[in-house]
Amino acid sequence: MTLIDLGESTVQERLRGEGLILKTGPFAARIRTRIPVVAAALMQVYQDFPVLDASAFADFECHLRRPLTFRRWHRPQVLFLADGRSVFKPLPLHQAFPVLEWGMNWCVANQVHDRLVFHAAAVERNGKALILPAPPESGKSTLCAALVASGWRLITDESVLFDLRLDEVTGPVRPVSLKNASIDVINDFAGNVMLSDVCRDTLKGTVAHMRPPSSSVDRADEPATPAWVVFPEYRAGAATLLKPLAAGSAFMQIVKSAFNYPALGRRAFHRTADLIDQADAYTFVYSRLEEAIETFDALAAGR
Amino acid sequence: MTVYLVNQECDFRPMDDAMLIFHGGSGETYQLAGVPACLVAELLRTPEASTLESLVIRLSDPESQPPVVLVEEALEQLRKAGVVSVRHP
Amino acid sequence: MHSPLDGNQALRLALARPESMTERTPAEWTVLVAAARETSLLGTLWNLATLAGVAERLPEPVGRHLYGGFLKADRNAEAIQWELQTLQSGMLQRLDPPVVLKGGAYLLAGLPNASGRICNDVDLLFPRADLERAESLLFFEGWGTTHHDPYDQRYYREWMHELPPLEHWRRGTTLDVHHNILPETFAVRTDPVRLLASACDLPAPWRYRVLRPAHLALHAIVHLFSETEWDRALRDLYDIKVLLEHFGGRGGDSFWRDLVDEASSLGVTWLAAYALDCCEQSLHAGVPLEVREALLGSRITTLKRRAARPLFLHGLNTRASATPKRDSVARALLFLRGHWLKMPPRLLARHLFYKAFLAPKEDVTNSRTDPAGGGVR
Repeated sequence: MTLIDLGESTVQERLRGEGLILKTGPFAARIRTRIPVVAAALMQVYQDFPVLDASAFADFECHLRRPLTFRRWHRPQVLFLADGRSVFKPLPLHQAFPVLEWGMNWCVANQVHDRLVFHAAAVERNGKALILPAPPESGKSTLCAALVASGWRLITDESVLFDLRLDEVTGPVRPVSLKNASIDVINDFAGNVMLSDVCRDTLKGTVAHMRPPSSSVDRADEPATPAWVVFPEYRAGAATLLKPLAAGSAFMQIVKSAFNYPALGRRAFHRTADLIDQADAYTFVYSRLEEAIETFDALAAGR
Repeated sequence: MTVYLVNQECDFRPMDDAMLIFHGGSGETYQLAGVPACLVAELLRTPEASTLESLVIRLSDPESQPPVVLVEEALEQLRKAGVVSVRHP
Repeated sequence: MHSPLDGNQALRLALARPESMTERTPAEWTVLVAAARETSLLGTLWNLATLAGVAERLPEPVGRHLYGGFLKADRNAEAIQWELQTLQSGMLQRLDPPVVLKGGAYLLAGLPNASGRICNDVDLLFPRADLERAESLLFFEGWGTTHHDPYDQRYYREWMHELPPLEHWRRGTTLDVHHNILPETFAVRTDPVRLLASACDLPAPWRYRVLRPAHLALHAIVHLFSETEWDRALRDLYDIKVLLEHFGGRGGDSFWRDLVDEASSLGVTWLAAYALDCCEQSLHAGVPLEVREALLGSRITTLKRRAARPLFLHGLNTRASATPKRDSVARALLFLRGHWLKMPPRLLARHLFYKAFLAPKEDVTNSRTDPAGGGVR
């Protein structure tokens, strides 16, 4: 059963009642909210995602509600609660959907300790994963969205999971989060993408989410072998440049993106080293998306 | 392979260009370019004074690069000197 | 078919009878995992499931959460041991070995509740006479105070049983330096000399001591049952249950006799009675009949304790609860109770007045993350 099978009114009903259990790759999140706009936004970008019935296990308990103070009515706000505890500062109510997305990211970043979790995007071709770790503003999501629009399978835009035993990369496939100028850039680059309504004046500026292709959603459980770790950097007007990066430096850089490296210690150290041993590392400077895609297509084709 | 460096457990991972060290106690990770050799030489010179931090600071200084020896050989020398003990998993 | 358990019931049952974990439905696991996450008990559950031989039979995603909690605790234990080792090989060598308390003690003494347990800071107990010296020695190693408000300094130094928490400037670790197990202004005054005198040495290489079994259990008891914050109370109650059963199983009568006698000598029999009652009610702890009778005492106190029981039982609940309203009332009352016990009324009024109106405001925004930048960065 997917969201579109269920239909918006049933989705709404579940959100208000016992919760909607949304399956995103290896994780299931139980979402509860009485805020009406959330159902419509979910329908826009999650329509092909499986929904589990109420008797299923959910990894994360997500609750979105207004605060119990006067800010419930006066310039209303929204809180995201994980396991009943508010984890962000209250934000304006119209940002409810982005807040839900950030909240689910928070759950993966903070509540998953049985595998390494990197703040990175990953896409796949021929069973091989291209991992794009990056700090915000590096153009990671833009690049990821463009690769997906060009036929790469989306593994994740936000949290790359690396198993502690198997040399496999997975991810919770979820909508790609686009900010500010990237929204128009992706719209211009690919006519076929479906973006959510934009949400203005958030902490990240204007944001919109891109619906993942249904083929990526259908293959959400399929792992990929880590093949390339690429640190992208968008630099206006720069020439496209893919440059090999020495393993030691690649290790030290990707460690900065590992959410649970401190919590896993020694295990995280060796698994990160294993990952870097297996993958080729590069830095990548770009300004033109078309050239960026050509570069990665060539990399995947072994050219 | 687990190495005890002055009573503190460290894990080492040689990479193409660097030696990575994980310090089990503090949970800190260090990257040392061209290290095994430097590490060994430095340790053998001043075993009692070596904390990992001081070692890293000194070895990160490109001016003071001692000559290169093999990792296994180096660890063996260290073990004899009583500075580190080596445990294979 | 049983009616589904809420997260608290399921968690208590899992702690009391680990085999019961195989009976949980997926929906019950959702709330059980949430409850265990909230109380930092995921790793403990993994350890219990492994010992009971049921770990392999848990649903796969559930096993992953429990195992992940265990890995986190495993790393935490390594860090705590290293911190203790670093401390003992430094300036503290100039003093007699301090007593390591709580999580650090469970870990170094290899007690059964240590496996899978998360320990947030290091707690050490010194004789009062060594306190200032310990503080200055630690200062030279980079341990500084966390409370800079003069009122807070006075609050701790005059009225509490510990110095204001110390923090290592580089590593960020927290160290609590105690001279007693209950505040100076608490409803009863425990005699720290009694605790220090019979503390036992830990085996080499450790240069620390631990409280003797009865004192270790009583410390866990007075710590929880004098507490104002009951956020992770179930974890603390589980510690008490394990300590009682572990020492009871090994020391038998002599442990139980010592527990009863020492509770009385330290003036905390009434707290021990609440603890025992909660352990039995909530976690089915096995306590011999004579001990129950000796601690639980006369009928009047029994009635009083029964009346207070719902307060503690609701206070123990996590947010994965079927009774959230009653739980919050209980927590608020426990907060007041904790303060009431901690200070005589006039002092308490002064303290609360200061905290409400005069204290420098803390930066509230610091307590919660900004969602910008990947949710946590």
